[in-house]
Parts: sequence; structure tokens; C-alpha cells
Amino acid sequence: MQKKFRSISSVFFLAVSCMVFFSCTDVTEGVFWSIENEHEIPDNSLPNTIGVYGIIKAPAKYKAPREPQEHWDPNGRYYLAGGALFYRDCTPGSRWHQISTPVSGGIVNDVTYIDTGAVATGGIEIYVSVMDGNGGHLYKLNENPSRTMMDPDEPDPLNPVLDPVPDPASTYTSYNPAPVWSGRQIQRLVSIDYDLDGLTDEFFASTGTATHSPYEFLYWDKDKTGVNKLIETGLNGEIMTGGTYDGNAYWFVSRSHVFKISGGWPASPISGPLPPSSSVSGNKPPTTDDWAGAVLWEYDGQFKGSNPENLQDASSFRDIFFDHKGPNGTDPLVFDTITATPPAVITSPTLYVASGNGIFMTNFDNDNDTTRWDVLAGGSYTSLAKITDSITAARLLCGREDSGIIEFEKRDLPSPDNTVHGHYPYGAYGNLPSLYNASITRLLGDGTILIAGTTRSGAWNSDYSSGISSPIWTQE
Amino acid sequence: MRKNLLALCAGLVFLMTFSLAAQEDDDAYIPTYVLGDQMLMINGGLFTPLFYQTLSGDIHSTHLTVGGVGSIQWSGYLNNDMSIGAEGGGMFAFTPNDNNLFMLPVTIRYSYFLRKYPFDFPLSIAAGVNFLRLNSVFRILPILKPGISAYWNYDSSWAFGLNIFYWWTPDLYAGPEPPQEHSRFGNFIEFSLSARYHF
Repeated sequence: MQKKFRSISSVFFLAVSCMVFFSCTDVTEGVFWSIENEHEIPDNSLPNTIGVYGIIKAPAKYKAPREPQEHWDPNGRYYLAGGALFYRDCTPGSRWHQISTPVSGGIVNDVTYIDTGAVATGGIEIYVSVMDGNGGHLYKLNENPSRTMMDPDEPDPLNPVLDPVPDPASTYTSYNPAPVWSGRQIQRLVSIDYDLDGLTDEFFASTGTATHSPYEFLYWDKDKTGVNKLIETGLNGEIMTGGTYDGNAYWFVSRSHVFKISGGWPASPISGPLPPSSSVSGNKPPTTDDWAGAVLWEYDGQFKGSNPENLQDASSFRDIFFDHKGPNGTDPLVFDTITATPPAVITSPTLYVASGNGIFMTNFDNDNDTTRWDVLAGGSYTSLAKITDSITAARLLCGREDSGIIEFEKRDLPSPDNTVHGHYPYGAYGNLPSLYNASITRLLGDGTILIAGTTRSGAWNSDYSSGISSPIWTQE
Repeated sequence: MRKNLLALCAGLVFLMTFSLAAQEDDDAYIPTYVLGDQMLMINGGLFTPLFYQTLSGDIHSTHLTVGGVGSIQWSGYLNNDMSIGAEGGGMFAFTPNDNNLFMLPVTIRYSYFLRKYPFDFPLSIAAGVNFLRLNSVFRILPILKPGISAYWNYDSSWAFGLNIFYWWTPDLYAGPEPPQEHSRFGNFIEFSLSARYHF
């Protein structure tokens, strides 16, 4: 018996020794050490269990004081669609305020703004989409100028309200006779920076539901004969998930398409649609006839379109991001060399697409050939954003489905390959399972600030101002 | 003096009477165990973080909450005074951001019994491996768990008691990543209730 026992003990301790010896891991820091150095993440006043469907930053001129004592933040404001509409000043430490949905049982599911020009004529206008069981609604935010914000913690200090935008069914003109939007749910508001100055100049609404109304992609015609309304673009049949403008062409992505609409757009912001029969030379607004069929890539089991290189492997497009400015705001070079398949040298503005199969990118070389797409990273991605410091460094942040954020950077120091590397964000990110296990819905890059919205754990903030490699994470 | 002598005699008579009675009880109930007798124990209670110690001996806070612990243990008697067996269990505790630290030790436990029927007081030490998980990080660490227990024997089969086990588990690194400075000795203590069954 004792002999048998000794034998069992020997085997056990041999196994233990092997396990301990071979228990190599990929950790970069000690486990107990990381707990010892973990500190509670500051939590701002935004509810931590909401789903975030949209985040924008409205620039400061929206808040030009209408009364001498009225508070306004020169840094601008963040607006967040998360069931209700939330907002806070962009100054660090500012608290969130909530504007209840104006529709009983309604859900604020997206927010955007447009820059209407001079402050005197409105400055920035905030629009939100609200959905409920009866359909969709578009609202414009109006703030009550008679109230003043003396205490930033005071709820709804400016007593803002959401005013409904009239249903365009009652305001259609002869060349757009059918009500294109009446009662249709708005799934996504797609903002476009038309003059590449960092401000949203126009927006589109992706409308429709799978069972009750067809999908249509509508354009917010902000000043046609003084009547604001949504009009058809002709990009129908799918929910559009993102869009951008590269200076020459509009780009939109839906679940299975990448659309490129180019040629004929005006050099100045759109003044209004023209009838399809009208001349569109030099001023071509979206109409059904002009936009339909402009498919760059389509994935529905059969390859269509121009079949650009490498993009044939992609589907489930969720976001598109055009990076046209470098870290210093003028230099278009952001990532000199990037690890991709095949390797790409980025010497011009770059377009990134997030898809369920990875991040794809194309760079705009001299001939603007965007048919070659390179694979930046594999995986299921939902959103894209860029943060920069004011000098040299930049990061491309990529939100993922069920697995947080991946960061791509250009190594600042010379390295053998001088490549861009994808990694988890630095700082306390590794201590935040509610973030790194979350499905990211939206990313907003605002200089050195990143705001990440999730499906059910609210929003998170990462401040890169103290160092591009040492972001400070907080929960919004 | 006489009064004192009387009291002394009365005391001796009382002690002798108690001793005889106890002798009768011991004769009736005190079980003895031999090689081949076995016992099964189930334990559950609180896990209390104490401190981390660096290689240089500095003490640091664990930044862990009080957690929960549970285990199951099988042992066989070597003789009436000693047993050896295997133990498996686990603990959980939370970090400042509500991350969950799990440690699942699998150990061999040796026990030496101090007895005063109906109580016994096993002094024990366990050694083995500790499967640690924090978020996505998984490590296998060595662990040493000395401790003392106190049991009340309800009958010859069942006993109930409590344990105080010290957990000492080194988390060591040689560098360069993680650097050697991240090495820590984890020091924790377990307070658990226990039920023991002899068979």
C-alpha cells in the first residue's frame, strides 16, 4: 500500500512540476501586480447600462451665447443617442444631461447635426431620429434661451426640447410626388462632411424596416425653397450603415454593398434637388435616376460591380471612414507604411471600411484608383475613428463585435519594418471587461479624445492627451 | 485547615467521579481510525485577501474584495493520527473595477490530528497547483496552504467544524516581459465551515 501511495505521489508531483514549468502565458504584466495597480475607473453621470446608437460632437458655435450670462462651452458639446438624447459639454469633467424622448415609448436611436453656416442664421442644428411602434420621427433640438446654466449639474439646465420635423408628406413638391418617408422608421442618420473641414454639412437617413416598409435612403434637403424635408436618393433596398465624402465622391456602405457616387456634385454645398428632367451639369443632387446602380461592390453570394481586388472577401459592412488629414491637421500622411495583405504604402488619403470580415482600406494615389483594396486586419468590426495628438502621432481605433477595440498605430521609433501594428489599447483598458467584452456600436474621435459607445454598457472615454501611448480611461 | 482539607477531598471525589464517567463515555464512543479508513469533507466560507509581497519583501495591498471559497477534500488515514488526501476547490474575489479573480487550487493535503473527544483539531498543510484566471489571463501557479481546523464529532460518521487555511501562492516572472519586478507572493486566508463524513 505504501509503495503504491509513493508511486501515486510521485506521478502527481511530476505532473505539478511540469504544469508549473510549462505554464507560459502571453501576459505582459504580472497578474497580482496588475491587480495591485488597478484603480477604480472614474464614472461620469451617463447611465452605464444603456445602448449607444449614435455619438456626435457639435462644435462650439452652436452655443453662441444669446444672453450675456448664458453658459456655453467653447470646446463644443457631445450628443449621444441612447434611448433618450444625452448631451454634455466637451470640457473634461462635464456631466451628462438627459433630454427625454418626445414620443411616449419612443427610442432616440441616432443623432446628427448640420452646419448651416453663420451663427446668426442658426450655426449648428441638432437632429435626432426617434422610433416607436408606430414608425419613425425626425426631431430638431431647440434650446430655450431664457434659461441659464449656472450649475453644470443641474438637470436639463437649458430646458432643451425636441421639436418634431414636419412629415414631408405634406410638403412634397411636384417632382417628388410620393411620400417617401411618412411613418417609416429611421434606422441610421449618416453624416457627411462635404467640404472636409471637420463639420457635418449634410446628412442622410436610412429608413425602413424588414417587414413593414421598404428600405430607402433619404437625403435631408435642408433649404429647398425654404422647406426642409427628406427626399429620395435612389439607393434603396438596404439599410445604409455608414457614409463619407472623399472630396470627389460620396461613399456609402450597406450590409452587402459599398457604393461610390461620383461625378457632377457641386463644388459648393448642395442648394437643393432638381427634377430628374432638369440639367444636372455641375450641380447634381441625389435622385433616384442618378444614384441607382452606382455599386462599387456587392456581396450577395454572387460577385457584382467592379469586383475590386480583395474586397470580394468582405461582407456585412458597418462603417466607412475617410482619413484625409494627418496628425498636424494638414499633412495627409498618417500611416507611412501599413501592414496589410498585400503590403501597402500609404502616401495619400485613405479610405477604411469596417466589415464583418475585417478592415479593408484603399489609398488615393495620384490617379485616384480605388479599385485596389488591402486587408488591414481580420475580424468582425463595427466602427472606425481616428485620434491624434497635436504633433506627430495618430491612432486608428476600430470597434469590434463582442470584443472591444483594436488600436492601430504607426511606430514612432525606427523599427526594422516601421509598420503599423494592431493591439489592444493601452492604459487601464485591460482592466475593463465591460468594455473589452462589449460590442462597440460607435466610435467618436475628437482630437485626443475617444468616445466608444457599446450595445449595453454605456459609453467609455479615453483621453490620449497625456501621451499617445498612455490613454486614461473613464466611463461616461 | 480542616475546612480546606474537606474541600480538597470533595474535589478529588468529584474529579474521580467525572473521570470515571468520562472513561465510560470514551469507552463507548471514541472511534479510532486505521490505514484504509477514509473521509470526505466539503468546505465553504469566506476568502480574505491579506497582502502581496515583493521579492524584496515589501508589502502591498491586494486591491481585492473579500470573496467566497469552497472546496471538496478526500483523505485516507495512514493511522489514527495522520491522514493524507487530495483537495480541489476554488475562490473568487473582485478587483476595484469588478473584474473577477478566480483561483482553483488542486492540492495534496497532509493532516495530523490532535484529539480531545468529541473534538479533534487537525493541523494540516497542502501543496499543489493553483489555476488562476483574471479576465482573459490564465496562469498556473504553485500554492501552499497550511491551516488548522476544529471539528466536533456528531457521531462516528459525521463531524462538523471550521477551517482556517492560509493561501500562499507565488506569481513569479523572470523577465523581460513581464519584468521580474512584477513578481509577487500572494497571501490570503480562508475561513470556512466544514462537514466531514467518515467511511
